[in-house]
Amino acid sequence: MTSPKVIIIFLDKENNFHPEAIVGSFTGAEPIAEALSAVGDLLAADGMKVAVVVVGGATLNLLGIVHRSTGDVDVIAQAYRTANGDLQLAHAEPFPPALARAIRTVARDFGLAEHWMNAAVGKQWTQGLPPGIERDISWRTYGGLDVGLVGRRTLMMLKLFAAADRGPTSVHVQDLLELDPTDSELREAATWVQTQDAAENFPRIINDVIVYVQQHRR
Amino acid sequence: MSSSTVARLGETAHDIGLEAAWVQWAALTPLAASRTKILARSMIDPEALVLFSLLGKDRERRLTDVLAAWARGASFLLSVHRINALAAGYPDIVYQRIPDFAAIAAKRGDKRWKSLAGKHVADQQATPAREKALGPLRLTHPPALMLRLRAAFGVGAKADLLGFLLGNYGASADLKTIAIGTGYTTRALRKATEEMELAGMIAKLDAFPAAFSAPYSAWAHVLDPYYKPEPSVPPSSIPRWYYWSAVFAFLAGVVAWSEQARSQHWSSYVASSRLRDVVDAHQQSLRRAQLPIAQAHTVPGHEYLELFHEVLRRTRESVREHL
Repeated sequence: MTSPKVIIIFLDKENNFHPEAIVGSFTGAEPIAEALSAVGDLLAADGMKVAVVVVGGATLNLLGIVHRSTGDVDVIAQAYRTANGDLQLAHAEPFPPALARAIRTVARDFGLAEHWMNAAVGKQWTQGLPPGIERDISWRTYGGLDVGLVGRRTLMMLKLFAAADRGPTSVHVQDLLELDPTDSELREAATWVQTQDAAENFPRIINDVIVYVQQHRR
Repeated sequence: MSSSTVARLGETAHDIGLEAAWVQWAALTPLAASRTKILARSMIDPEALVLFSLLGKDRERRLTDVLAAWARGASFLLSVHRINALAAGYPDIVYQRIPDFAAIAAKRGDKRWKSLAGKHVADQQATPAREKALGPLRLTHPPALMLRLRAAFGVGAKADLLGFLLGNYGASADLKTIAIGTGYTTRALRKATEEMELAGMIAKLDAFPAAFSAPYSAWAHVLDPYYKPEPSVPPSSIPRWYYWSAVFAFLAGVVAWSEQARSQHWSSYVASSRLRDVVDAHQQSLRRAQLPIAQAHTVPGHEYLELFHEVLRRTRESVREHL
């Protein structure tokens, strides 16, 4: 006798089914850009301008490094220009009310998960952001929303950290492989990642990931 | 932004509401009789009719004339409280025009409108209304039942709740439902229902929450001395209640959305999103009016604008069916 299978279907408040909310909101750069454009349009219509810095799968897709599904857009920081024009990063949360409203509206309008754009990764601030992140951002403007995409160097640090945290079978290792890091880039990333966790075996875990990447990269 | 799509949607919504408005005005006054050949059958909500007409009066001079004539000759049959209460569900442009109407009524001696007329500033750009006579009011025509009851018993919660219950053909309704339909507070309705039940005019059901019904067959004999009951046939003197306040408010919302989208040069996406906001705001009340409004997330992004043509087409069908 085969084991019984249980299928759980998640419904929204109005009993509608949104498969895309379960398996991942976006596949590839285009839907991400469309959603960000929509947020920017709403902000612009309200006369608002907001700048955020994005990491993770959304950034990898938008930079053309990968073409894969990702569940959300990870915001690691908000950004401002000081009086003398310098870029200043600030905590991702709380989002300005206009941005939070626009995110909820776009979720409704495109059938996305409620927190499709979120600052969960913002807790990285408590342990310190990758060094030099401010200089490793390329900017895209979507109406009233400026989106800073962190560059290769920052992505590698964050992905190595995430891969060490989640293991060699995680999507983060796959992303690292897509970044095709050199040995020197991996060593530089590891130097920062080691500062993120004081556990005794953490350096070994990081090294295991690096060895895996070295063995499987192109 | 596809401004032609947005303009078309606004025009369509306006046309649907205007057609219904003319049918209802024609049922009330000969001044509007030649404007339509369709006969009204359902109960007219007079404040909802005035509010929607305030939106459209700039486009139709005859509507301006009818509104002004009504303010001069029949404002005593309207509820100032209800106009204020219902106006909250309409776009700002409607609310801003109430003082114009109130000023005419107050000038003719209906002091109840003075407080609303107080904010009135004469619009120098507006085409002035012509002094047209309202003619004999058609209060004994079935669609005018709400006004007829007010003429008999006074403007207030009692006449309107009786009209609401009669229009439900014996179906009971609790205070919350009556409040939604009539626009009065449950507190005002509680007192009104208690007194009317005491007078034997309505019946209170033994249920929780308390529900009330009106013996429409008995009332049909009062309203129509020649009434002969027929099985399963509602009396012709009692029109069916319909949530005109919900329908007119929704259509006015779409018209205002269209004007704002064009004047503020919204992108197609923003226009579609703000249209979803209008639908969301009216969703619950439109369900009561049995209008087939699509769920907001059926199609993504600006594609919603094209879908909305079909929404309005079905709305027009439904409105005509309930006229």
